[in-house]
Amino acid sequence: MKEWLKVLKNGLSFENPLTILMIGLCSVLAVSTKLEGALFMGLAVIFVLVLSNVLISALRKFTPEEVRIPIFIVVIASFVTIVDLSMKAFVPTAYAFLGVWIPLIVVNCIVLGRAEAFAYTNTVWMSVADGIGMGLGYTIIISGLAAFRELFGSGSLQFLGRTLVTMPSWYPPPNILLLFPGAFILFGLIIAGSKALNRHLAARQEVAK
Amino acid sequence: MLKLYLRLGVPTIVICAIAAAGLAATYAFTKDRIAAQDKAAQEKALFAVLPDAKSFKEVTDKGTLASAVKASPDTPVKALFQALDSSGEVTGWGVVSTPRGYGGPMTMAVGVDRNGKVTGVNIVIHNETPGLGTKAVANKDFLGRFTGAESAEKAVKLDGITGATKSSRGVKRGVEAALLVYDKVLKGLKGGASQ
Repeated sequence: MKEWLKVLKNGLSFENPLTILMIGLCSVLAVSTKLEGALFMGLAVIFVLVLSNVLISALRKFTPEEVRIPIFIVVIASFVTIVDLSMKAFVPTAYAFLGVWIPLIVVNCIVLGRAEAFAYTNTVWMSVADGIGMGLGYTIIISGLAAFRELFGSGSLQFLGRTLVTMPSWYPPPNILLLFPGAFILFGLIIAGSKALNRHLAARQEVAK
Repeated sequence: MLKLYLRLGVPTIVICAIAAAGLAATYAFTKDRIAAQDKAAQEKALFAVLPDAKSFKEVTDKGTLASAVKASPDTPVKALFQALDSSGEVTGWGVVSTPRGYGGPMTMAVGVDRNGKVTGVNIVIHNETPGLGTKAVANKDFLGRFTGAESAEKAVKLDGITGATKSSRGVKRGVEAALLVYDKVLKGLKGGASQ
């Protein structure tokens, strides 16, 4: 169990897919303009990541090494299509906002990367932890970035049709936050922040030893 | 050699078959709901642009649709709807087109009454930048400017929204398409009688 939690925590901190491994960034820069959309994107990624990790890990003895990549892609693409159809049917507004980014989870390096680097060589139980950890690491960063960009870039924060926070009227929302340059600049700051945090955590672990 | 094919092929085929079965099940499960969602979204958009109508009937005549597509060379026209009042009389038309915005094509519904006046404009699906492009496509004030427009040329020349140039242009293209289709196709249909 201790090992399990360690794998889970790795995805959130020392091996965070976005701030440390820096994979799967395109969707983060593109759909982090609205908190609601980003949250659904995160949930979709968690779903695909956990289930594809489980299946690939369960099938790892049955999967010949030479054709493992095509098999990974089939498994991942199936789960992505399931998410795609389900979101279209049950959360049409979020689906309309995310658009092409849901089908594009198929080529998200995080999912294929974890299948290859973790699930194919680890047990099902550990792969669940890896999927949840990596997925949560992704969701937390993209949602945080989206909340910031939406609040300060468009002047108010909305969730499922309700307005949560509105900036005072004297605040002129700068457009750059909603455009790609704003996403790059903010994301750079997030990377810097998480590097500093990880260094602090590592130093504390050293002391504890 | 055959052994190698079997060793690689059998697991691949088995996994693909399982995946296909899973997808078929999901598709069957969500199909009706997706169709219902699409229909509800379309109806809502049509009622928004033709508030006087009681019901809508899609134009399925292939010849009419083909000439509508031809009438608007720059903007793809996707569908035409007859707006009917309570006695089944045609009171106007809904033109669904997909003009290009900043974030790709947007799906847009424009209502035109029997005299060729725009009764309303609604953006059904769009992928414009929140806070920038949405200042045009989700702005009732801006979309309202097209109500009453009769001339495609004049509609295109209306002022856009600062910071949402391409999105404004997309909206104008959609209105232009609807008016062109009315002018070249719908006006000529005998009283808009049922096809």
